[in-house]
Amino acid sequence: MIELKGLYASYDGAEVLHGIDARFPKGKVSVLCGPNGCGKSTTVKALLRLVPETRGEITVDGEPLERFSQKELARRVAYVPQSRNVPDITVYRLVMHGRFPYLSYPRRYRKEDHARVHDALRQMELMPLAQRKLESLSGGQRQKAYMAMALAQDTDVIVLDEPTNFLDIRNQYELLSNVRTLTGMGKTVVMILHDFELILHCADHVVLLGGGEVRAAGPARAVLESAAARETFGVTPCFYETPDGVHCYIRPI
Amino acid sequence: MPSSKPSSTTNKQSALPLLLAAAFLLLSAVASLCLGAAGLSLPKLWGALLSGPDESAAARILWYARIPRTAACILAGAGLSVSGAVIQKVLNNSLASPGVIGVNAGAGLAVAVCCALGALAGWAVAGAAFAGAVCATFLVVLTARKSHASRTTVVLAGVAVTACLNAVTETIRTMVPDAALASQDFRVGGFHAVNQARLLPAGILILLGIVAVCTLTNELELLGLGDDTAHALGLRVKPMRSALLTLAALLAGASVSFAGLLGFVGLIVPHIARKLAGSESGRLIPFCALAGGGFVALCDLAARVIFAPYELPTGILMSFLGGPFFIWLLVKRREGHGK
Repeated sequence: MIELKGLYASYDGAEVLHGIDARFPKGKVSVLCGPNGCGKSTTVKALLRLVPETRGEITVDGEPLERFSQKELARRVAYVPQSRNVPDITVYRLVMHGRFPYLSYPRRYRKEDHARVHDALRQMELMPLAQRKLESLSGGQRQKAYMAMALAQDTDVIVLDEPTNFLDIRNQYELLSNVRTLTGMGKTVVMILHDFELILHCADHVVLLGGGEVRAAGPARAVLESAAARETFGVTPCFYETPDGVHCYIRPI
Repeated sequence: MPSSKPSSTTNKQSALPLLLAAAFLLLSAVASLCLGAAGLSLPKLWGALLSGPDESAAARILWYARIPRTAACILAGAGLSVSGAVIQKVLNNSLASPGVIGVNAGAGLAVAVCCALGALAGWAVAGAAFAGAVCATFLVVLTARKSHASRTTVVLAGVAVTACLNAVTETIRTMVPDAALASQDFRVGGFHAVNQARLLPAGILILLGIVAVCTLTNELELLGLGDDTAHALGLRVKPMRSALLTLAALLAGASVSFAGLLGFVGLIVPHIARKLAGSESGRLIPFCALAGGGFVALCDLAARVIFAPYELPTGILMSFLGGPFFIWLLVKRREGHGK
């Protein structure tokens, strides 16, 4: 489990998180949502010590984050950022970078590392594309390649920053089904999502942020139905049930 | 159904480009040893190599002129090419070269100061060039670190530091015309004045630098993924970027200390290398070292024989070849995008 206690963060002295208290349960999909600029990306970046100015405490399975060296942290938390470079390398090479935290002298990847990479490629169904250049892939395929890299990192926690951006509807659901597979493997997933329908589809736990503070937290429907969600987003979500679950459409206030 | 075992095909890397680069280097080196004002046939070359340096006229030419000069070409070419490849990777900018991080401006200023003070001994000029190149790069890295050390700030800091240093150099050259004259050879770049005393320390530094870069190819690759991703994979991004730029400065500084300001090598060879060996650092860096050495040895040979018995400075010939080649490369790339 990941726990944030009184987390403050600032950029160049300007505070953007004002004391976040939140929990992301182990082996579940937790979603951070909120309007633009509310501090979602800063919160997930703080989990990776990517924000230099922070106060408060973050623990992973009870251990404070600052106790880990950078490589130890990379063996516990993997990250798929929102904007990704497209270097001139093959999918296989990209996924192999996921084994960097385990690289030791003589600084060559071992058989086990290659085996992990193959497992990750197989899980993401990327074996046929392994030797393709990243730049020749579609947005959805690149997203899967970066997910495979995070899988090869073999961490307990995977953090995804707006993973459905730039994906068509089918690829969005396919990606969420891959995310669900990760929790089936015992991994804790923390991700940022905007779409209420997608949140209802995949989230076990939702943390709603607004103005750098936690406005609500709990099961997806309870949070999205709350008055806090209506106030924070300035819209009215309307819920309905079908045999395959709860769905939602949005009415502007 | 995909195989469940790791297949050897998915991670196989062809060694062919490296073998070709090694063959190119070997041929260039042999040609550079054999050809020149006094030609040496292969049997003569072999005999002179096996005999001592003072056994015959051919042996003296080989041991005292051709071997140091060829070694200098190979080391300078390898050092500048690897330096350029590292800088291009670290800054994610295919137009970057050692000049971008202040190497040329720093070395140029230091040599101008040296010449103005009348310290014209070979080791003084070489030492000043090396120190100037490394100090200028430190200044660039330090300035960039003060403002987040992102790739863009490194390039901008390089432009600013280069402009300042060049202004000082030009002031010295204007105020002390003798310094302008004395530093002319250094500014053009060439190998006619190379000797063992200047070459040995710089050569050792270049070889050690290349070995160090070869052990950091994974880190170089990670920097290409972007700062956040590299950080999340356990890389300490800013210190690593500074360390790699410092290594690049050491390589380029050591090279210019005996070869002068050879233009284009650090820009063009990595481009050719990427086309032939791919952009993965594990192959790109050794390829650059081999092909860069061969390329400069070949250019120096051409500079010696084209107008024989006159000799063109190698730096001028490289600019003649490099400029049009680079334009061709740019046009070809544009055509490729247009298709």
